[in-house]
Amino acid sequence: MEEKKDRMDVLLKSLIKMGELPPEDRIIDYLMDLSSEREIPKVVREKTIAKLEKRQKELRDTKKRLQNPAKLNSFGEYIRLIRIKEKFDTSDLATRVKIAKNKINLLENDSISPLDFTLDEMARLIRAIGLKAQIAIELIKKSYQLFKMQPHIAEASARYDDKHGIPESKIEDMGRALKELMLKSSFRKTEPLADPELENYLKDLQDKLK
Amino acid sequence: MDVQDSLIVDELKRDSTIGARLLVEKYQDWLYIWGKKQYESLSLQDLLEIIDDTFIRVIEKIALFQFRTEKGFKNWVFTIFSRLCIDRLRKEEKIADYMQIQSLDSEPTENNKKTFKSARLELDRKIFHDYFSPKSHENPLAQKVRDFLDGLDEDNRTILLGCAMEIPHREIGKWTGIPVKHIKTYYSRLKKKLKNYLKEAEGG
Repeated sequence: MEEKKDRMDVLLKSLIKMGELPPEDRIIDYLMDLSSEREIPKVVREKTIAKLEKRQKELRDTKKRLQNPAKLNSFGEYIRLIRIKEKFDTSDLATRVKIAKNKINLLENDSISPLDFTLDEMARLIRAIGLKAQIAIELIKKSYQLFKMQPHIAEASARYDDKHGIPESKIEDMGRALKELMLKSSFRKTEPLADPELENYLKDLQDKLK
Repeated sequence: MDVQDSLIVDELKRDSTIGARLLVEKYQDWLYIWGKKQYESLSLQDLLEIIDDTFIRVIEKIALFQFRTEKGFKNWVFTIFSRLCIDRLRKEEKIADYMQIQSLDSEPTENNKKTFKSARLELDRKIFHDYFSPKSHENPLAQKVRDFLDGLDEDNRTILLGCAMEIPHREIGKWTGIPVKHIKTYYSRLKKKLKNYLKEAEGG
């Protein structure tokens, strides 16, 4: 006959299911003895380990680059790195800051002008990713510059696509280096940025962030 | 292989790949078996993916983890795993009413859409805000039950958890040395004690 369940039964079962009361070792050992698939195949295990090692490396690299955000190539790059570090996707961020996901994706790739974001949107974004106003402004300047150079960057990047058999990660590194180079050369030529629209936008943004 | 959790934590904090290997070797089978028992409606493929995600979360948040008690790390790993399983069930609309228990007085109700929705929003909120961090908000009721369990000796703890999980009394008797015919009585007494403890803790 089935035992009558009382509230304490339900409570304990619920908490166990919710992971709030982790099992005793001997209970897990018992369950393992019962199972016919005790061992996860070695190949699956090795795959998991490889995945973890990859993530460890990714985190290490990301952390290193985030140590000095002012040195990054653009505001979009900062957003992408923070996402990798904190592991949330563009949709999470988009929902939180109430900006279209597509717009954030474009910003990460420097394929949209930061000026296409309203001041409110940009301020929300900066606050959500916890970036200091001054650094954000410097990075937005770079994003703007890269956006303007986008056709040249795309053309240059296309020469290094996968048909050369270069691994994806390497292409990404090369793309970053290329952007860095182009930024350096462009800032040398045009610094200070003589774009009144951008200057006004950044001034208003700074006021908004105060 | 019985590896001490403290060693795994140290290695992971040092960002070593050995730490990742030790973590997988010690916990992958355990989580798999546990998941099969607790979340039957998840496919085995889903379970394997969730286990991978669990390990990734552990690696991402290990810097925040502080080794306070012997079981602390294991508890954390299982909590992350369970939360990910529940989240997957939620996404697949296979959520069960156990999500809805919030206090001693609340009883699980079927098709309670309002509670379901609020549990869902709460999960969404927590996932963005460090839901898997060792510092994430605790369920106060669960904390009280854990406090109660901490106050019990190992045998009583095994009786309470084992019976709640419907482990055969014969097995529980073997582990604890208590005659099988008395296990049910022990369990009833322990539940009564727990109930009183929670009532006291909730202020009478």
